[in-house]
Amino acid sequence: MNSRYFLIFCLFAILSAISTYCGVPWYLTAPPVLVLLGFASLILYRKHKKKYALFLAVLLVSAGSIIALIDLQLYFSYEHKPARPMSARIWNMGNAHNVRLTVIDSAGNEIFNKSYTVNGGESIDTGPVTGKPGRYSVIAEVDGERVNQTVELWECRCKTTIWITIRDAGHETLVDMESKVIMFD
Amino acid sequence: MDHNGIAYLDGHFSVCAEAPAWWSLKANWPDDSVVQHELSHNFGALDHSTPAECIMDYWDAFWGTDSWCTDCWSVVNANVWGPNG
Repeated sequence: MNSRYFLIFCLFAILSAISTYCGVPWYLTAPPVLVLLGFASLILYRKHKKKYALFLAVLLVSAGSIIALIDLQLYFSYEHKPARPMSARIWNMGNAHNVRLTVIDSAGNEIFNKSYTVNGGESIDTGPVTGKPGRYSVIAEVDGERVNQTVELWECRCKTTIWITIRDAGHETLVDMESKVIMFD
Repeated sequence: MDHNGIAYLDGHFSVCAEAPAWWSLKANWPDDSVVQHELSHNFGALDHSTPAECIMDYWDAFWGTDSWCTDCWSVVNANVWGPNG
């Protein structure tokens, strides 16, 4: 191996060792080191026309670029908003009922207010309510009976669904409210 | 599936993919990291929104970290053993 190339290699190896010792993860150190070594190898090939140097250059630059692309993809995958907006699903297992759904944000503003007539055995999806992270108060009013819950919409790749289940037991109407969060990844 | 896995937060179910669909352009995490990450969601741990040395961080999960940060560990431990566990 060319002594100058060997020196460059040693220099990068020492720099990588120092950065790893200082706490920089190898997958951040690797891309620039591999790409720079690849270019050094390319210079070697241009001077001495050794085929192995060209092969090494392509290999090193490709490996460095792939790791850099993975790093970038992971870096940009952080999301500070829900993957999908919050929605509600009203599931009626009893007789027909009138349902009013109200959502109030932490500032006290009413951001959603809709009424539905839900037949027995029917399930209604309200569609998107809000996609803004925060704490919300959800109120379901079924034939005058109110059920409420505080729901947190997280700042991450998730989907929050509020399940409102209505059952009839004799003359009594039972209303359950539950929020379920699905995390993507 | 266009994700490495999905899980109910503080719930009973999670699904792990061997690899996300190619068209999702998502990095393929090691299978054991996906399982650890999704089960942690089942025990109430959230994702990190910035890099942190924790399995609940997308970056570290991909590169094979198998430990939790103090916050996530507290959440998971409390949900497994109870608040005094």
